[in-house]
Amino acid sequence: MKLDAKIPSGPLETKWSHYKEHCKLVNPANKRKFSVIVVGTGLAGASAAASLGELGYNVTCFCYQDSARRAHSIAAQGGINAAKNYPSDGDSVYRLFYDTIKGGDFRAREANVYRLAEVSNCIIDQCVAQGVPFAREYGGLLTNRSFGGAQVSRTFYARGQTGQQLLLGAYQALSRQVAAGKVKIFSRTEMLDLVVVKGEAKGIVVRDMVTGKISSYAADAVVLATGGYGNTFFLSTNARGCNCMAAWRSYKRGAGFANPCYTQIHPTCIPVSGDHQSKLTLMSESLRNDGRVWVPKNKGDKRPPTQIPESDRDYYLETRYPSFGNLAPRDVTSRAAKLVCDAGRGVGPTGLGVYLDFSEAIGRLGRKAIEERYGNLFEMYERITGEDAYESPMRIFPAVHYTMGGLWVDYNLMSTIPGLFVLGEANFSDHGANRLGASALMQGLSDGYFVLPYTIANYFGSSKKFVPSTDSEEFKEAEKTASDRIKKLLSINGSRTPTSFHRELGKLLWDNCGMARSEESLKTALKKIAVIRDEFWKNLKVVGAENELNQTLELANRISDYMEFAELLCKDALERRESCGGHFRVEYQTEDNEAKRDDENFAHVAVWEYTGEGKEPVRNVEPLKYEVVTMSQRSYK
Amino acid sequence: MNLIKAIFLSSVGRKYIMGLTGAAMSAFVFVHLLGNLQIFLGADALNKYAVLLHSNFAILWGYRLGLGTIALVHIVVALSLWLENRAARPVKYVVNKQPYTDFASKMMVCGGVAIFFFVIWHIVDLTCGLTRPDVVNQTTMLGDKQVADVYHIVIKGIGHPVAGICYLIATCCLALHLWHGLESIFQSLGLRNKTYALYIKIVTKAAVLFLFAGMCLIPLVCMLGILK
Amino acid sequence: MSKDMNLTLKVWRQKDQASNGKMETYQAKKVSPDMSFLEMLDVVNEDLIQKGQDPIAFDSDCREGICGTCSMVIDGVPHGPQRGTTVCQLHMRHFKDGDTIAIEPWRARPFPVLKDLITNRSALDRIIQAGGYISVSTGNAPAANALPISKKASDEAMDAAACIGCGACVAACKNASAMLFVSAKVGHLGLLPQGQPERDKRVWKMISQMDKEGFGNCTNTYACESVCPKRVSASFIARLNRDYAVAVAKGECDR
Repeated sequence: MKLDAKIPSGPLETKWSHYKEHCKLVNPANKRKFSVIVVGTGLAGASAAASLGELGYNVTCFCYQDSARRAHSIAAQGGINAAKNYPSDGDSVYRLFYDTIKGGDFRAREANVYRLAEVSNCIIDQCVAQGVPFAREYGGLLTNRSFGGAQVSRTFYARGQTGQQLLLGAYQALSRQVAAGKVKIFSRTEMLDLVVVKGEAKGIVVRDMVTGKISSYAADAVVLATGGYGNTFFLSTNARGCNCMAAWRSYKRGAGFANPCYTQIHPTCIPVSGDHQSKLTLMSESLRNDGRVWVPKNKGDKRPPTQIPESDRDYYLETRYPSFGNLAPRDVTSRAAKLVCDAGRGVGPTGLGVYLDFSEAIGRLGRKAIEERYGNLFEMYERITGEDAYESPMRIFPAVHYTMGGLWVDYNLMSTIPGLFVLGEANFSDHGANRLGASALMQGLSDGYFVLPYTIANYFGSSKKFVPSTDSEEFKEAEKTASDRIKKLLSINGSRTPTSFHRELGKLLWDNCGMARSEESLKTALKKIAVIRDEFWKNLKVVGAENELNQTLELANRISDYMEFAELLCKDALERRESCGGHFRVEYQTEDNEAKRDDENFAHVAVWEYTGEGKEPVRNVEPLKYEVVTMSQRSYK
Repeated sequence: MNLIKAIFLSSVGRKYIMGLTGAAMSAFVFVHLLGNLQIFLGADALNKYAVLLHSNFAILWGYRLGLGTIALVHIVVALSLWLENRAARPVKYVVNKQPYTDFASKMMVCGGVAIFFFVIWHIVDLTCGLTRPDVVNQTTMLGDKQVADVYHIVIKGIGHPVAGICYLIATCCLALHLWHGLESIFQSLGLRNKTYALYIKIVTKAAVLFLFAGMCLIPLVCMLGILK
Repeated sequence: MSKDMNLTLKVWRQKDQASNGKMETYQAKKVSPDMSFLEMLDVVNEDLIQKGQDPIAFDSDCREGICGTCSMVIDGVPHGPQRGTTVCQLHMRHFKDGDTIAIEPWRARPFPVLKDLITNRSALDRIIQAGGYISVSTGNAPAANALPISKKASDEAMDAAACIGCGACVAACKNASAMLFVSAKVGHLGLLPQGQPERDKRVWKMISQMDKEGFGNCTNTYACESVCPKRVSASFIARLNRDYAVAVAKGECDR
């Protein structure tokens, strides 16, 4: 596998403008002759489809949801970063770039991240013009707030619903193109396979989730904006429908998969309440500004939290990280919670939880002030747990939240298959080994609004145009593969439900490839995944038929991919013999239990190449060269 | 043509028609009640008022025809909306609760139909005098002129127990119709916002209660023989 | 910890859009009060699959009350008894042991049932496509702070923009009217200076599309705002009516 990142030459600051000035263009009259398939309608997909439609391309857009507006970008709460420097607190494009590189533990590509920081300001302009109601000052100008991992206030927000408002902006722009006839949307339609013709991505196979009909679409290029693979863990903050089918099946068609072991585990989620749990809910990171995290000092202390005296409480973040205290970064905080719970001092019925206590803040600022700051979050907590967090502390626990890994892309956002572009969380992204808060929205919109429209034209302008017929051999083969898999799932007729397998796989991953990983745990996981997968294909029970709305079948099909993908995830984690960002190997830690990077041997992107069913994938490497920043150790003591 | 469609065929256009015609008829009802309440000022006052109302043929008939047209439009548009609303939910809920919808708003069509029949009877009975000529044909002397003795027509006409009970029932229907309708006018005409909502509610509900009290009072005093 | 419950569910089952549906009865056993309503249905479904029966099809996605996918009428009330809450955030502690719960899909002519509790709500998408946007192509935007917007207008726009497009307003309305949905978008964009150039056109187009889809007419019962999980106020409907009158008066309908 050839990995050419195609990074433009020249100084970092001018790479993108130089690219835009010199890339190939498609003239306005010719644009309508090009067709593009966009899969996924989240921030990246919707913004890309809308922008391409505006330019004059013919876009066909697919989503598994019943409407484009429901993609999971909608659930992002906190905000979106941009280097506007409105508060005049010293922010700049370079600073946003540097914070992002450092936050990612020096495992991202400099040129990509710089471009991201550069276009961040255009995103805010664009969204305001679309009518996104960002928070404002009384004077009518936009306001900012601070967020984790930065020393400046650069986060724009719309109450606790920033993702929703940005997505609705993109969805509305997309709707305008639908009305103009430039975009056609197929909702409740799931991509089952990628079709590669003469080495180029030229179409997809989809299943109509209402009628079960499998069909193909061909185009000049395919854009995947299908999100991350967090749901492999069964319990995550992802939406129920999020899945990795599009990315995984593209991998099996030849796209390289980069850094699958980089998974972000968010420290402040509502703990699991029982075996019935279907998903986890995130509570905004901002709560840690006023909440204090603690557990009982004594193992097995079952007293209600309010009856545990100060002397019996362990404010472990404050003791362990005196200078950052409760505001330590996500990965550090998550691991610290795991350590105390492993020691048997976790709280709540399952013992997997720690307290986030506001009593001190309520005493200091008054209940009203806390209500104003976090009222909606306290209400959400009450909805889910039935507990009043003003009276007794919240219980929180880490949960899988975001995946930094994804399909490998070059500077053009094109994967190792020419013509296959990957945007947003689905690509291996600009976040390195760890993503900073409020950067996911920025990346999705940057890719869709401001990067892809240029790079796709460059692709069209520099390759020979052809769109194969969907009757061609490659399409028929892909349709048959997809259809056979579905038939196989239906024919097993065993005794276990798809969800039971998914839950088992998820727990295995969480225990062995979650917040802390070791050679031993990963090898155990790899062994057990094979066993679970084996049983899955022998003992699965799917009811109903293929040519109808069949949610069990949809689920089984997605889980069948997790069964394969989980293995790659663990392999990557095993091979990356260092700790960095979201990937923590217990063998590689400092004396005080912090992550220890190995820049000498692992300052690279690991790109996995599919070699065939049952064969070992090949691990390729794209070295990361830092020309501007100097790598350093992160410390929060 | 689109203008016609925008006003007479669109959902919002027809809400304006309902609101405006409703407002006009509500205004009439209030004026009618205030006029009738003069019954408590004695026979001469009411009879004088009746003479005044009948003094100009053109105004009287213009007014009657205008009000009739407004009522007709209100009814026709209401029926068209009602039919569409029924069609918009072809399969009804098994648990058909209509949550958070108050009784008055559910009774708009029923109440409207009841009021329609009452008004027909009211006009036939008291305005035209076709059912009870002996009641309507009473006259009296006002100064040196012979005029219709409206004061006694009302007392005798409404004081009859069956008629009086009909009036009371009709008043209940009208009050219920306006309990929802009067406040609704402001919403339909776009004259309501969060700040005014509460005031509009208080004022319109108070007005309906006043109307209800006033309209019940007249048949009651007539039936109980308090006024003679 | 409160005790587990046993419940009787009466659920609307309908094979597909062309078939007729009917209510069927299921037992939900050992329901934990900490489960969400949808998790309770998940458990029932796991049991049905084990028995080889078709599980109850229902829509859900984010399960944190923001995507607007989940949609069911519980005992006659869209999204169930807790106000300001989507059904995915409704938890079983609001029910009692032994309760019988009726579960039905949204019912409106423009929302045909696809299967069981799943409906097709693309009519709402078509209303947005008719004009629920500000026409600004990528890259055309002026600097974000070039145009100050009063905090009051911005906050009010946000109140309207909070709509998640679930369609509960339609489901609750005795006339199946979509006015709250339409008014939320017209209000959101109409309150902002960026939305002014297309304000008249937008309201005219969106109302025309809404009427075409076959929704009922608003009779001001305000059931919509009572069931709205995001508490969008029906005063936006008054605003919509006003905007419509202005647009028609300006002759927008013949442009």
